[in-house]
Amino acid sequence: MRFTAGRFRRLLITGTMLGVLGCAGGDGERDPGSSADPIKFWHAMGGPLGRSLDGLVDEFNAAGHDLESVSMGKYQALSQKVMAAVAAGGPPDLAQCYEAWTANLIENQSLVPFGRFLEGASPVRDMDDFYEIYLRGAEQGGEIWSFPFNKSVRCLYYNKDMFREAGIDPAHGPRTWEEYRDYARRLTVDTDGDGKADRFGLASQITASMFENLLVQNGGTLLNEDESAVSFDSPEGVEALEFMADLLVRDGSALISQGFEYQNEFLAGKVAMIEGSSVSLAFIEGKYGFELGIAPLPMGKIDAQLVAGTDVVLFATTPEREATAWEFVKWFTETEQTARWSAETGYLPVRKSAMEDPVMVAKLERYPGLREAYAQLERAVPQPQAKGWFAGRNVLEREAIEPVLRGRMEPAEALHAAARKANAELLAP
Amino acid sequence: MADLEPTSPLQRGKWGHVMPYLFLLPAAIIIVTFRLLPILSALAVSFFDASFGKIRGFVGLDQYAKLFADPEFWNSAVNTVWFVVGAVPLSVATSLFFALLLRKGIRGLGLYRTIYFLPVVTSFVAVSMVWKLIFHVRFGLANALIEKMGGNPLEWLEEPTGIFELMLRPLGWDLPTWAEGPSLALICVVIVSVWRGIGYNVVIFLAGLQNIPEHYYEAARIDGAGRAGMFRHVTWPLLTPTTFYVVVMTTILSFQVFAPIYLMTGPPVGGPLGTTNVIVYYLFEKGFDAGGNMGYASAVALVLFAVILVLTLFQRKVVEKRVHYA
Repeated sequence: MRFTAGRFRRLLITGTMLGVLGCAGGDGERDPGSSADPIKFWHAMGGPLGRSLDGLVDEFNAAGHDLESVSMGKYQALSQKVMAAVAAGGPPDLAQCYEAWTANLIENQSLVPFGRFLEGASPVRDMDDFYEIYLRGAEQGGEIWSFPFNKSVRCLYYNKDMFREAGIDPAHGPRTWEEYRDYARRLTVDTDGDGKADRFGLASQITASMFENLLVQNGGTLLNEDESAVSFDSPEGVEALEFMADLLVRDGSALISQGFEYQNEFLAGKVAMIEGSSVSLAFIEGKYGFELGIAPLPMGKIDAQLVAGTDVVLFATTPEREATAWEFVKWFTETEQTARWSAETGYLPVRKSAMEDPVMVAKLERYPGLREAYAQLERAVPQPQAKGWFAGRNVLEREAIEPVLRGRMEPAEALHAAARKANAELLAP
Repeated sequence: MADLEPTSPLQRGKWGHVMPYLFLLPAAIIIVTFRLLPILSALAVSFFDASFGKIRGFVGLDQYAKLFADPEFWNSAVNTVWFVVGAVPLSVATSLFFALLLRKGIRGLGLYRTIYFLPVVTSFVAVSMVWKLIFHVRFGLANALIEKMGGNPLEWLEEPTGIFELMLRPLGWDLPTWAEGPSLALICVVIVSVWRGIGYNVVIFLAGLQNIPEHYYEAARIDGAGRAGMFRHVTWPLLTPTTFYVVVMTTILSFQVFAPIYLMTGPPVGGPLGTTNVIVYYLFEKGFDAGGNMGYASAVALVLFAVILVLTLFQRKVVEKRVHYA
């Protein structure tokens, strides 16, 4: 009978799952903790980002506050832990939050809208100084439920030495889709003459992010106006995916890598261009031996961008704790701090005035393309807010983008099939 | 309890008949709390529309209906079956082979036994990372060896094409999609899982081999049996209880494969093209990833539980008939 014990082993999965569910029956009652407990801020900032954040938190605490910064690992883990903590009735005071996570938390009545503080006794200085795009993404149903914290845009990193070698002006990256394809082809080289390319114009992983930006640049949208259905399978979407397949597969001038390996290929000088978040700079800084160029993404029919990165949300606790948590958010988004955060990490400043802050000016001087790359923010659109969006995005990535990039499906049929399935995810309660 | 003497101190006095249960209690509490209750609550939750932290309403068997109508579920079920069909025979055969080699009194036996057991005690994360590098399309050891021998490099973990298709394509055959078989990527994961599990099964086989009395071999030798004959007529039949145990355990564990899939495939995990998406990963994704759909995930868990239960009962009732208990 030895193996009967083993038979139960598989139930560990169920067990773990229900360990969480066991707490689900609560009615949302929570112990807010005494006001002596530190204010808890849950985030997903690791590596250089975490170090920078902890430095700023220490500084905030030096002014007599008690805020504890807790890294939860990746965003996915953060989301799971926040959901579980809310279910168990013990949420943190502050947490990083994507637009599409907020709806669930609002529904659960776990959050405090920021209007209360913006119009309260301790408002922020000069609300007009904030980039308007952020507040558009943070607003749901007429209330500001989240506050811009670590926002980023996608930009293009390129190897200026390889540009020169190929006879391309290294002063700027490709400016249009046509130039993008042309550059990628010209930068692909067979160095050892065996008939196979050894250096590629471009490298990417299989990701929805690249498609999302191509789509908005082509005049399309991810979701319809009231976010009740996806619209990425529009003619604009099909055209964007056709372009992506040309660029990454059909032209033979790109390398598709697993995970973040494409970054290493770029750093090793085997690839001339990669797309990445503005934050990628913090991770590649000092790891390359060539002249680095940074540029905005090439422009499609229109010059547009999708904002990435998260906001921060404030959980309902006690008035004292909420007020302290707000003080941190307010302090963190002041010109001086947001400029420092931006200069140290590559996240975008949340205030326009930060672009003229000395710390920021120094950073922009060091990476000349950065100012132009950050300026994409002026023409950006916010992320979807529908709570089913990430599930829908998974479908888009797996059932449209991957099969097309692996040559198994044509863009139009793949997008239409994925849209039908993503709509079901989007409408799920 | 049979070998306890009736005069054992445990059975004397008015506490005598309670005592054994007290000893069982701590383990029983843990098993009930962390195993049985979760199973029962998973069963209950699977009848509700439940997300992380919220139970909305009774939906009866809707989750199961949705589940059986989802092609993605069937895809993950088929992948899981391929994984089991690949991993179980391969694991049993290789571990038996190595156990037979290690049984002989060769020099440095202890060292070999340690070496074979090392992967078992190594973190699956480390194992997966190393094998992922070995299978790397451009820098991996596997392709370097193939190229050394003049072959064409393979796509390994990036290859969504079925292995039957890959094997028959050079002969000019083109198989229909349903006959392509498991993807090469899934086979890579099978290889790593088997490699990691060999040591554990080897130890069990070695214990089984030690239980076979030497005089059977002596008798066989006197009767003129060769090595093959001895294996066929002595070792194999007398080892069947051990083999049976190894098969049952490996089957159960293979149905639950998760870690190497999560660590080695994708992104997106379960790729390329969903050909390595197995049932436990499907469960994880529905319950914890973007969806947070606990009711649905619980239904998946229950279906998997039922499948493993039925299969294990089948093995006990039918296959065990062929086991020789000496």
